[in-house]
Amino acid sequence: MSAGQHSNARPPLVEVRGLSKHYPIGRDGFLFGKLKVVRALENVSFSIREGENLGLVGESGCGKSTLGRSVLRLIEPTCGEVQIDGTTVTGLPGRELRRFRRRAQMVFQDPFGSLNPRLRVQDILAEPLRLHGLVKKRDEEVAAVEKLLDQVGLPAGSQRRYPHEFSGGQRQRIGIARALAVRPRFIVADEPVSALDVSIQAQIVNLLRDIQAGLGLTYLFISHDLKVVEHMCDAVAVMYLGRIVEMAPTYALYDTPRHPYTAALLASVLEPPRQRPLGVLSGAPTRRPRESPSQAERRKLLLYGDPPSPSDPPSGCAFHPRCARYAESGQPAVCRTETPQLRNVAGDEKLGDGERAHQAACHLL
Amino acid sequence: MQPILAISDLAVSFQSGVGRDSRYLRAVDGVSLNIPPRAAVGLVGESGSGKSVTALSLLRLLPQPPARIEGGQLLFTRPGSGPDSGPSETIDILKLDDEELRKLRGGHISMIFQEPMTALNPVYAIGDQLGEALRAHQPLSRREGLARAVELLDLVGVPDAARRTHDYPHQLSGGQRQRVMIAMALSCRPSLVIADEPTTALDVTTQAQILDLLGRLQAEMGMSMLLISHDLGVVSAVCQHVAVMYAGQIVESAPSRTLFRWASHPYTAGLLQALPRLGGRQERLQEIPGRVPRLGEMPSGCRFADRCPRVESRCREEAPLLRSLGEKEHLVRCHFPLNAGPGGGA
Repeated sequence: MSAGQHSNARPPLVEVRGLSKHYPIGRDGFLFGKLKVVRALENVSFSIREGENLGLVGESGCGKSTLGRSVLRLIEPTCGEVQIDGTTVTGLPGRELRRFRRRAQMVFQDPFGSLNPRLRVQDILAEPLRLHGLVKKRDEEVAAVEKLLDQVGLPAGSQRRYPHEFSGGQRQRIGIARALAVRPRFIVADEPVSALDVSIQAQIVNLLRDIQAGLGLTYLFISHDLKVVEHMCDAVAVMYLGRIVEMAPTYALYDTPRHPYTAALLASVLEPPRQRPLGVLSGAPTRRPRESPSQAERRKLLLYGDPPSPSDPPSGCAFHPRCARYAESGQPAVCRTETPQLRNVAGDEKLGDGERAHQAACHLL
Repeated sequence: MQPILAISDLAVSFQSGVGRDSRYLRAVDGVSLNIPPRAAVGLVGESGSGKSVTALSLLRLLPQPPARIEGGQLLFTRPGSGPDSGPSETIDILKLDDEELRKLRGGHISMIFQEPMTALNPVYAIGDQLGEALRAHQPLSRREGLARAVELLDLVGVPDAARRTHDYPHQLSGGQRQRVMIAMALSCRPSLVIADEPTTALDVTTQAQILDLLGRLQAEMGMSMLLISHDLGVVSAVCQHVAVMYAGQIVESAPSRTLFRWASHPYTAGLLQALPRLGGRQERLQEIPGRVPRLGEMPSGCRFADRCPRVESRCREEAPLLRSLGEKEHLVRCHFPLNAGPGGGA
């Protein structure tokens, strides 16, 4: 597809502005008390260009899955606006929303929980085709399913079997095939490889990349695994307690993280030592591997304590109680009183058209 | 040096089917591994490799039936830690009666599980649970037990330990619960701790804290540790020696440095290649094609043969043995290991 070449001049495929999701959790006091809410998402804005792959990382409970689902309106956001492929998704009435879903699909983490155990693969994959009226006749349906199976690397004959007959990796292939069935332009993938073993994970990551290249898809790729995200994504957004705290092109975020939380996340990644290069195996790094920080440096960056509860977040910058930069800077009051906004970090003024800025939300940049 | 625990030729099967169809399937097949004193040994493998079954068998925690330990020896050497406790003594865990087993569990060998929420009792305050573990093995009063519990929580970095003893498991975060589990495991100063995926349910930032703590305590208290994990990064951060399991067998075992730099079994090398790496934005990840063979369908030759890039006809006919490769402590179960040059050590 030639779509990627001209995307700079065009509006982004996905545009999210001020998206929030609040869950009520009861009242402060009895009956007339203030309504208490959990701010699972708070004023989140970002955009994804066509053919781009935006990664979304953060610890559990940071709101990354809520964000993924709110964007597709699988969860109804409290406020904010989502535009996908020129359609304002927020505010679409039911009928049109269903029609819109042809263009944006979701791949889930648990490939077993998201497949109907009583349906054969043929019916799992044909159902979305029928729903959206993409096939008229039975033989068209059969041909379409065959093509899908081939696309995701499942053996011919799989359509006659049930989900439980497949391994975890194969089930995830079925999940991907179902998302692809309606030929979407945008896919939200929520931890698609987290439940899989390393050897299978590599197969699925490669498959997702191949499909993206072949069909010109755009992904919002949600994962807690920073290694997989660096591998898969062109740009990355880091979430903490319902907000994006840093967003940048992948190389910039990994090479020069600007938010102290991002730096701590990266320092927490564990890797075995590198292998002596083996001639028989391909896959040379395209960039020189970064020197890993020393044990002492790592320990300094490691976070202490746990993420705070989203129902009772700290004042000001929600990260300040765990922040090394805050402690080292003499605990400035601004971190406790004011919520930092996402802004461009210095040195990013001369961005080309459509190029992504490096943004971080920290008072102490 | 005599190992704390010498696992030799351990075989564990599970009953499958009922009545006439009933048969036993071998999940762990001839596992041998030594755990030296004061060392951390890692056991890695993907799901279905038999690593957790191995771990649970060490304290005979598998329900029988359906499990059945078919053979092998688990020689545990209780160190003689002072003039009064007598000389060291070696026992076979598989031969112990229930009473002896109960003393061993939590006393000399303890275990840390993956999911602390299910391993802790939800209706008792953590101070009481810790105290109970202590009093099961030591003659302490309730009050003394509670005081020791506070010390232990302090040791594992639970802030405000004295007040926390009144908390129930659900009031703690996942990381804090795992700290409580660790405190409980260490409460009787065991000589061996078996940690089965201790950080798998935790976030990366918490995982880093917990591993840091485990490694530090293991060294400070002079314990041995068997760390079971699917994550090569986790194992490399803590262990001095690593064994890799595949389809119920150990396929490679070596000191960490050797294993990660000079992986010789094609499966180990494949796993390391399949890992996405920080800083290396590779175009493609190296895949290991296919999947682990099912329990009932183990090939008669090498169990990795169907997925192996180096497979030859001999691999399908003759099951390779675990044998030493150059360095004495480097064992590989392969006819054509990677670092023995073309043609292998045939």
